[in-house]
Amino acid sequence: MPPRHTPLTSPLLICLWLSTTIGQARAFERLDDSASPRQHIAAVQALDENGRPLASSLGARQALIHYGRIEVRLNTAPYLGRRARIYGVLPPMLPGVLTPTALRLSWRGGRLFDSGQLRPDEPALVWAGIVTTPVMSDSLDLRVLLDLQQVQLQQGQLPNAALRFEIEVLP
Amino acid sequence: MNRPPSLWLILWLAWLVSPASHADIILTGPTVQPNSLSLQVGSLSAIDRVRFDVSSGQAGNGTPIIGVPSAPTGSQLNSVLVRLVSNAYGTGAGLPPQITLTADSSGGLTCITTGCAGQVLPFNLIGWTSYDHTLSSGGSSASTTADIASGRFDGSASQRLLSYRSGSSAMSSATLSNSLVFHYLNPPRLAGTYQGRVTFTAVQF
Repeated sequence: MPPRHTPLTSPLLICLWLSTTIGQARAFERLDDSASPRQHIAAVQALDENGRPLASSLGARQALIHYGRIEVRLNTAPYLGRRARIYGVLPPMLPGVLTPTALRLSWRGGRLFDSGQLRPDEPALVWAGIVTTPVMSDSLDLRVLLDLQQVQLQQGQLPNAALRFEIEVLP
Repeated sequence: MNRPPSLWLILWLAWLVSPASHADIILTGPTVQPNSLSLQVGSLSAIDRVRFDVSSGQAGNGTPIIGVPSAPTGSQLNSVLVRLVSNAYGTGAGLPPQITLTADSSGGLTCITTGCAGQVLPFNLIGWTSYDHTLSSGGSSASTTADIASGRFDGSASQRLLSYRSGSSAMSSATLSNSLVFHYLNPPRLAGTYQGRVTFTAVQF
């Protein structure tokens, strides 16, 4: 015959579950990037799939947009001494982007961050290690590839991409 | 599962003490050229005339009379070029703009000689044969309605000759280039000389 739970066991089980839930909710935190010199980045060059300027291309199917190298400064002071991973993240829904596969953001890292690429709602690892400085700063060479058959113009513009960074603190 | 009220309270407090959000880095999408549409019917810089000469032996016998344009511009003998170039950007509800080509022949053909004074013939006495059905499109698909079909005027102010959605890309282009050979149906009519005007209009929306 299985043992019956006494009234004292129930509070204990609830507390353990609660602790796990809070731990998961705090696993990824958005990093403060407000110290970055530029928050709005304009395109340096936009080409179609044949390497022609997009502005004069008729019937382009893809747009390769080059934003140049931009500096990113992340406030990592709250995580000094912690082992962590930093991810680049695009929101799952971007105005004008009809499907997540329509946009791919890629970058080449500098002295600190790794190179990589990501799509909306697909975080990509930028850095991993022990946080040793209150501000992590690097420059990223950013490019966006758009499938023009899966986007809509927004008041005469191709869609924007909103990049943010999140940190995962490891135990 | 019924969660104890204290759980929600603690989660809410955890959210309150989490670090504040900060602005994203916005990669601004490039501006593209505005939509454009051009339409050419006949000569680039003139109003062309198509003349139907009906001899006395032919008059009213039902045999179509081919019109002779003042400036042949199409690929066929006695043909008139209708050329439409669209540079269309996808806006709105997920579809690229639609192109519509209409003809206004509501004015009819008015008698301009004394023998038929006051007479107005309807434009549905004039038809055309369309050639060169190969619309080139920068989009991914070309509709079967992409070219002007052979037909005749219906005498209305907005006869639809073409309705086309230019591919599925956010930046589509399409070029239509048809050659039309006009003919007069030559039914029994009064003698005289008649003249009228048809206006072609292309709209992209």
